[in-house]
Amino acid sequence: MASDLGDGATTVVPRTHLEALCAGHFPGDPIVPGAYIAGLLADVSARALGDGADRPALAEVERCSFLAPLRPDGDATLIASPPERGPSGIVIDAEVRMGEQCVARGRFRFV
Amino acid sequence: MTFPDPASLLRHRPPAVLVREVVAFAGDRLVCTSNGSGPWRWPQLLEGGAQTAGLLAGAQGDGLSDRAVIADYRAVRPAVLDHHGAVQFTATIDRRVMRFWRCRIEVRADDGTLLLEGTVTLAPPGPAAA
Repeated sequence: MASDLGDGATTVVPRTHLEALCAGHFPGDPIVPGAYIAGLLADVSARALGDGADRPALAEVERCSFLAPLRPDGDATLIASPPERGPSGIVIDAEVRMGEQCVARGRFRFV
Repeated sequence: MTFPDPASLLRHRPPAVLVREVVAFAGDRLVCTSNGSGPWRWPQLLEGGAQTAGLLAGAQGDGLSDRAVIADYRAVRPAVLDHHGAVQFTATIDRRVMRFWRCRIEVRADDGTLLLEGTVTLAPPGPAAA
């Protein structure tokens, strides 16, 4: 469902980019670092706010939880929900999917 | 207290090793210098803080192994989105619940400016992880 702030956003992260994020993390057992997953989710959340010069900036990762390891076995899909106004900024829920499985989700606040 | 070389404790290998050496260890608090001087995007600052927290949790009695994983991040507030220059990562034990360790992390520039703060929860290896 859309909000007055937009419809949300979806983007696909190619497997090759996931592989690059896994360099050294870990040899023989590649897993995308959680901090980088949080960064990807913040990026797709920011896209949900449009690309205007006055777009709000990331203020806080309120939470980002990891449900399963994100391995570079294929492309990942990032989905940001429609932005909502909160008491201290605009909040967006976002998640990472590998196929049908949600491997991480978070809530991001922008001001 | 002395602390072993982080590179000998972490499962990470270059270029993923973001901490260089321990400059302070007081049982429930660990401070590390950064490996290099960036440029850093905020997720890399967060990752360095998490590595420091992992080292700290591993140093506790009945602490976590180098197979520990990240369960979640909370209240992560980047004061900057990018930074150039060496940084210091600080982790402090906040609480332990079962085998989960929650640590506060701070990342500061060499002049002491706060760049990022938040909490990370570390868990023993299992199905959830990053």
